[in-house]
Amino acid sequence: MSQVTATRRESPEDLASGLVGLLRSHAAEVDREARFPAESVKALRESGLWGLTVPTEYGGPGGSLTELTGVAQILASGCLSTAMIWAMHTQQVDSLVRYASPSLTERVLPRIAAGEILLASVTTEAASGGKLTTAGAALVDGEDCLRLHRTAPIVTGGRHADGFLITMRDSADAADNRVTMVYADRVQLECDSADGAWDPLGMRGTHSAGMELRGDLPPDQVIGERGAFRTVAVESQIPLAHLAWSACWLGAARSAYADVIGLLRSRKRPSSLDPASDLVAERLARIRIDLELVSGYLARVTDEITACRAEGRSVDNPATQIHLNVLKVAAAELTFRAVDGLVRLSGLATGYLRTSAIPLERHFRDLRSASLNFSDDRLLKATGGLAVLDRSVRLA
Amino acid sequence: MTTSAEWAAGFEAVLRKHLPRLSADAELTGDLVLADHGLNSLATVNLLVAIEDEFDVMFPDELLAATTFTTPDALWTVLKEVL
Repeated sequence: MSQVTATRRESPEDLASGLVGLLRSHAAEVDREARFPAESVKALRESGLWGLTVPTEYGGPGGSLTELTGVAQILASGCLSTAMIWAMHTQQVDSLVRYASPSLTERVLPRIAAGEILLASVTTEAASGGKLTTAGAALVDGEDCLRLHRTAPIVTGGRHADGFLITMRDSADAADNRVTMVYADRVQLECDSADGAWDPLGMRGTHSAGMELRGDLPPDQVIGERGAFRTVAVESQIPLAHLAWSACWLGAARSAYADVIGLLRSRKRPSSLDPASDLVAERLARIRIDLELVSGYLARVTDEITACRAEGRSVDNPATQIHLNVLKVAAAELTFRAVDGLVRLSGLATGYLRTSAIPLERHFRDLRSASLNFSDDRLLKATGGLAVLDRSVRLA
Repeated sequence: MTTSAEWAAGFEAVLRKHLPRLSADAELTGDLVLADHGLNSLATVNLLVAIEDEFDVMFPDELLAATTFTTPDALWTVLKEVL
C-alpha cells in the first residue's frame, strides 16, 4: 500500500483515456454479436477504475462524483455498452460504500477495489413493472441467516456478475413497499440464468438475462435498514444512475460529434459535409448547443449532489429530485437528438450504413435506449408532481 | 523571418484563394495581415479546411489559436509542425 500511495498516481480520467482505444477496438464486434464486452471489462477490472469510489482505507482511490462522471464520459467515447456496465456496477458500489454494514464493507470493498467483483443489480420483478421501491418475493428469516428465492426478468450483465444487490420484500407478511436490499456473492447463491435470446436494437453489449437466484445469506449482508430500501434508492441508487447514465450518453454523443468534425476536416468528407455551407454550420451549431447544455447541467447537478453529501444533507427534497430527473430526461433526449442530427448532417452513406467509417448508426441505436432505460414517461410524471410541491421554483 | 521561398508548394495558392482583397498581381509577403485582405472568421474556417486538404494533415486543437491565422508566416510556422 505505502508503495502505491508514494508513487504519483495517474488521474482517473487519464486511466480511462488509456483504455478508450481498447474499448473502441472491440465495440463494433460486441455490437454485432450482441455479446458481453469481456476484453474491455477485463481491462477495466485491472485498471484501478473498477472501485473508483471505494474509499482509500479499503484500497480504492476514493474518487469523487465529478471523477465518476468524467470517467463515464471517456469510457463511453470508446464503447457505450462497456461504459454502461461500468456505470451500473459503480452505482452499486456507491450503495455498498454508503449503506453496507462495517463487517460486509471490510469483506467486499477491498475485493471491488482489486477488480474481483462485478456487481449487478436485481431490482425488477415481473410483477413490479420496473417500479423500484416495491417487491413481491419475500425474505425468510432463518436461523442466523436470511433466506432468499427470487426470479428477475432482466439482469444486466447478470451472467458475468460476481455479486448482486437484490431487492426483496422484507418478509412474507410485510407490505410490498417494505423493501430490503441485500448483497449476495455469487458463491452464496444458486443462480440459474434463462437462455432467452438477447437481441436488442442497441446497447447490445449490455448482455442481459433473466435469472433465478436462491441462497442463504448472513444477516450482515442487509444494505441499509431493513424495509428501508427507499432510502438507499433515493440517496444512492437513483442519483448515481442519473448522473452516470447521463455522463455515458453524453460521452457517446460527444465522440460521435468529434468523429464528424474529424471527417469534415479530412479529404474524405462526403459532399453533404461542406464546411463552407451555412446549413452545415447551423446544424453543427445546433448539435453543439445540445451537447453543451447536457454537459453544463450534468456538471451542475453533480455539484449539487456532491454538496448535499459533503454537508450530510438528504437529496430527498422536491427541487433536488426534480434536478436529478430533469438531468436524466434531458440527457436522454438531447444526446439522442444530437446523434440524430449528426446522421442527418452526414448523409446516408456516412450516417446510416453499418460499414461507415464512423459508427453513427450504432450510436443512434444505442442512444435510442436512453429514454427507455428507466422510462422518461415515469420520470416526467413524477417530476410534474414534484414541481407542484416546489412553489418557489428552485432551479438548478 | 520566413521567406516565401521556404513555403511548401501550394501554400501560397491556397492562401490567395481565401484573400479576396489581395489582387492577383500583388505580392503575398510573409508578414501580410490576412484580416486586412479579406480573411474574416468564417473564411478562416474555410482556409483551415483547405490547408488541411491540400497537405492532408489535421491541426491539433492546441495549435489553433487566433494568432495562427494572423499572417502567412504565422500560419506556415504552425503548419510546419504538423507536416
